[in-house]
Amino acid sequence: MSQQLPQNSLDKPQFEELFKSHFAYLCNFAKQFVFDEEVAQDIVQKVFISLWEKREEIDPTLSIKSYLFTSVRNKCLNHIRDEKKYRSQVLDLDHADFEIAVEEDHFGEEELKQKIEAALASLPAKCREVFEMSRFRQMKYKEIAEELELSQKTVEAHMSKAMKILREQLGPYFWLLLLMIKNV
Amino acid sequence: MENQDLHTHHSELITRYLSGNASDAEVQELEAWVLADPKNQEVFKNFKKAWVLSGMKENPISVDVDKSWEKLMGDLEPQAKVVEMKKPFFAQRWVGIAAAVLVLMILSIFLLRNSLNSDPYYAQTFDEVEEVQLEDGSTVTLNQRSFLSFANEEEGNVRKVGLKGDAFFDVARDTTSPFIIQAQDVEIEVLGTSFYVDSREELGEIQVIVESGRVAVRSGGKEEILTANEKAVFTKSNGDLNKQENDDANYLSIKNQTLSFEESPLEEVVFALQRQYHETIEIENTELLDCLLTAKFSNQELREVLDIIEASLGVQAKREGGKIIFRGTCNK
Repeated sequence: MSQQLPQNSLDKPQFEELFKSHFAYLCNFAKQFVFDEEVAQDIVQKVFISLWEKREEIDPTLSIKSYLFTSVRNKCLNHIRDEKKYRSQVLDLDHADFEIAVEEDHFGEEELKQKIEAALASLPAKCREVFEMSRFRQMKYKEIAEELELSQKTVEAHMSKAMKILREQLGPYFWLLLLMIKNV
Repeated sequence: MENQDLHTHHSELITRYLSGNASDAEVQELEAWVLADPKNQEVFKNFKKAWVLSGMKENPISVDVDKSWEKLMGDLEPQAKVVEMKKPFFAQRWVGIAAAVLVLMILSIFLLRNSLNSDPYYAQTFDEVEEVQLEDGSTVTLNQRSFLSFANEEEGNVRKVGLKGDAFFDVARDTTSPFIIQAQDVEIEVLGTSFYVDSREELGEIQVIVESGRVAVRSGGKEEILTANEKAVFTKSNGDLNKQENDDANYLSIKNQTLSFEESPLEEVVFALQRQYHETIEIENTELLDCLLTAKFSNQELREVLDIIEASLGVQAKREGGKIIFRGTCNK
């Protein structure tokens, strides 16, 4: 089911629906930047608070989702900047990194997950195993090498290969995936 | 085709960085490489997008949505009640809409920017402080009664805005595109930094105070380069531009809502209060000018602040006509 945007301002049931259907997903999105679940949840809470406070100013022809994603991203970057939690100011704090413009509020999170799953499934088995250990279990190359009894050089080669494939499959579509075309 | 070895080397370097395996030296090497060429930056961004996106596969976080919703409602309820008690439903609605009109532009401009591409945009504040997000990621905290205009199209790769009034700028770093502010006769150029600009029309000076980074201030062929905690003062009457150490401890107040005074003469206190609350405040007798105040205020109403000043200095602050007037003598 696609969500219909209210004609004028957001009322409370709509706001609740929006919150309950996107909160977890936005927290996950925030976590990609701030790496800390509590901070991520805190940031998303704040974004919803300001959405509620500004509900009468939101232009009904514009997407609330693009507002949510853009606000979460910006708040995350502000957080790592203010807390000086970046390894590199140049690389971590690039505000122009993502163009999060969701023109329509049709947005299938499940669909997006399936696309990511498909991209991961296209990796060779070992390559996928290495990548997932790094990406989802935050293991260092050295730890992965020990657990899989591989050399660090091999781990690095798998990682590079995984990134090359994922970049080809996901990179150019990042924007499109968030846009998610219309619900099928 | 680019050099294959180089390509592999940088792919590895980026992957190491994203996965948290890069050493400090490698981070520096990657930084230099990304800054060296916009093409490299593109390559890096594509990697980063793929990395972020791949992490969105599942929600690994144990988020309790219902509990979070209750918490959110708890944060919102008190304000909602105050509004409801003060005004009947219709009045509240109309007031809300009227107020919304004032700020509507600011938010919609920001959201619209991706879809419309030609017109210049602006944000205007009346009785509120507004945080304006620019497309490049910069944030401008616009004080009351101020005006910010920004052109959407880039002129020769320059980010350009115009300012009337005063504002705090937090400019997103982009070494390939300078950020330029035109504030009356003064031009300010930066790459990425945070600083305050005071170009209120009623004042005889335009001031720029730098919090972090490096800022170039220009007027009539003169230029001053400022770094953290330095201030440039442009005198409107004679066009002089001078650099000095910052002596305004409260220039961040519109952003953090905090005023802090340490043995500050009442004259300075009044200057800071006028900027923060946009009221005309006068000191009746000259011997009051040097009364010294030590106090800290955070997010407080003007009346509350005045009460505290009255109590600690032994002076009176009365509202008369449209102004607030300090009189009496201070405790010594």
